[in-house]
Amino acid sequence: MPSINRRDFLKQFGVGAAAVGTSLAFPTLLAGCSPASTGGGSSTVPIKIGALIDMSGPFSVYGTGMSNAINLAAKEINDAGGIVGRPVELLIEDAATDPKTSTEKATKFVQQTKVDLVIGIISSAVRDAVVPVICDRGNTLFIYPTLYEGGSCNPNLFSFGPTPPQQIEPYIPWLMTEKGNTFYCVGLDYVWPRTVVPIVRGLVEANGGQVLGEEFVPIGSTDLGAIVAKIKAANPKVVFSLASGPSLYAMARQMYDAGLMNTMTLATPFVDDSDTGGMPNEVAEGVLTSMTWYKSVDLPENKEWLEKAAAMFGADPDLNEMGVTLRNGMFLYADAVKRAGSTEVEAVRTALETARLDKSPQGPVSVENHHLVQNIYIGEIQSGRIEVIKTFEQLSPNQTCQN
Amino acid sequence: MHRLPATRYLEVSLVLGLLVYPVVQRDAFQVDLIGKLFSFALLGIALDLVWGYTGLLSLGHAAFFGWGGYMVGFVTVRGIWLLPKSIWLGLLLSVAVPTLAAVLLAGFLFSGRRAIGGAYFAISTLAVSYLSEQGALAWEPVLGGFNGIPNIPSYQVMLSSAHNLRLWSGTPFYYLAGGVLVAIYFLLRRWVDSRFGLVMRAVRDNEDRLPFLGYSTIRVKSVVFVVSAAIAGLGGGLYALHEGYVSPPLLGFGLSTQAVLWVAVGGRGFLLGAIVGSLLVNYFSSALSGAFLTLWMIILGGALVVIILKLPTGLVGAVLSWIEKRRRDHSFQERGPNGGEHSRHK
Repeated sequence: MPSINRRDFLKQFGVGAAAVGTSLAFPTLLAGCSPASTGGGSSTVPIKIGALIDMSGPFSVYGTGMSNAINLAAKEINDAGGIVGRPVELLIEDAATDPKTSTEKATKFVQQTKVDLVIGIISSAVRDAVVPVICDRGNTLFIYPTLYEGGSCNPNLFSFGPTPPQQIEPYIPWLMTEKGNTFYCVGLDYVWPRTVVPIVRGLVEANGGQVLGEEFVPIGSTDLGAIVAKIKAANPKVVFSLASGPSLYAMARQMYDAGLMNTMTLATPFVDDSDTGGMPNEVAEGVLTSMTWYKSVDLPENKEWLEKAAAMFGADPDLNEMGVTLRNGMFLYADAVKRAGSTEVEAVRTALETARLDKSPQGPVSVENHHLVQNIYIGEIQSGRIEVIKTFEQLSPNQTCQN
Repeated sequence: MHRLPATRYLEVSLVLGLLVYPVVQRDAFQVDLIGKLFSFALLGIALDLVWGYTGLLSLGHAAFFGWGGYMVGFVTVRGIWLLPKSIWLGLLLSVAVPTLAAVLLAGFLFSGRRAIGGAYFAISTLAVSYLSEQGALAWEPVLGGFNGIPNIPSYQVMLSSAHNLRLWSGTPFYYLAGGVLVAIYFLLRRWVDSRFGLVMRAVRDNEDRLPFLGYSTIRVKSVVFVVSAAIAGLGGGLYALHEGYVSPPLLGFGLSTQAVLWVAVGGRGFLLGAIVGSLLVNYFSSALSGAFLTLWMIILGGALVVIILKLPTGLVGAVLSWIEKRRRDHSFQERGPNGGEHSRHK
């Protein structure tokens, strides 16, 4: 076999190195033409907010609703002159409902783009993965908008989603007086349902009721036939579900097919406007939920906000509760920066700890111990839409984060 | 096919390119990202060993990667009995535990009167991966359940406080993981180019005939499987130290299938293909999702389909064929139809 001569080798090596070099440099070129940012028109330095939104993966059903809400919020803030005169630049990255991808994007935000604030994330597992990256290594504030079991504390973490004292504690006694004393609990097998089901049991028994059974299914399960059979046999008045997304839709459908919806109520703390599309109207009729916002919340601020959303995204836009929490989070941040007089982390954090909005699409909100005092609305799905049937005002999140 | 000199071009280009990259690339985030991808590349070459060279399609290889990661997480965060919570112990176990597991699995899968082949092997490995993920999700007190094991204390290990350099992050990790990858690559290169490598490929190409020539296919498959598990485990351990956490998806079917995709795109049976495929697919996923927020999956999926259809031997296979073809044409021109004065004989 002919041996390699120097000229050939250098030629081939040059091509090879060029290929490797270009392919590694290419993404940097791509990053330069990212269309996912909303810039302001002013020449002053923008305030950058990095959003980790699940545009793919199991929770992508909530992605568009959340990104719509924050895009609208950025526009609202910029139309009103920005934050202390500086425009908001919103950068959205796909967190893919995956801890691996989310930490990568979080690292990108704090290391490369160097944002002033990170917002987003739905699942607790992903939150636990990104908090060290954003809050500790990155020393950046992080606003987490999703309902969760409580107890997650970090100086730079603000969790504005509802906690069990808000979502569950008033909900259960109300359910018992309205719908009945006997409960059956079904949840996905991870930390949030596992933490909440004992709370439910405690409340039911304290109010003189009975929990007839508890079941936990693997995440992602959609074959709940066996569980539905057990429910039918136990015959409770209320089926309390801690399943979410596709698992919930499957359970509702299987209960409906078994004719159980006529004698029992399906109640859950996690169904919002993004979920109603996952179930046909007849199946979802009468399902109860307990969250902090629906499109039907009857406040002038909400109507106004929905009109702006329709103008920006078209009639009946995709919006959900976590999106609204993020929107309010951005406004609370704006308020904190204004009072702190800078975007410096320590100063803003202190100001954010006492921030409040007297008016918002979900009602008044105020920060307490890095969580949010807010209204809880009990909603019922009627003809495919969630209607508010009961309001609990200004509930405390009851968390003891002393940061 | 035996080793082409063309491979050497690619090897040198790649090694030099990767060596120089952190110097050229100003953006520290990109360097950190590629460093992380080196641990995936380890999973990739581990898979290439069993699949590309021995013909065993493993749909559950992420299980070894994940177990490696979980060992690091477990040792450094929870600690094993009275043993120190040392990172190096964690790394040792990230290799040892998957190796042991592979030995046990090899006993099940390859021995016995009805040894498993082909599709059944793939399904069995898939089951192992799925069970691992479910096990990690369920065994919450020990393995952290859905949330996994966060706060692995590797970020705090400083290499140089003056320059804010941390061993398990950024540029130092890039060279560390890159060094491990290159070292393992060259060791494996010698292994697959040896006689044993020939036997591996014989298992892939015509397993039924091999025993007649006096070789034990059970032994060959088991050895390759165990070595592959060790490498994948090491990759997982390095990954865990870089990221600072482990969680169930690292064990599961999703990551296992992605690994198969990386190796298929890069080209199987070259070792280099697995590395190139792992790096490129992951890097482009990341870059595309940043640039095209809602469309990136379609773009990436489309590109992957085109590559797999048009280039059955993968990217590296295509490049090597091209180099080889050019060399043949070139030497033909030099030699002329009759050999000519420039012909050289080996």
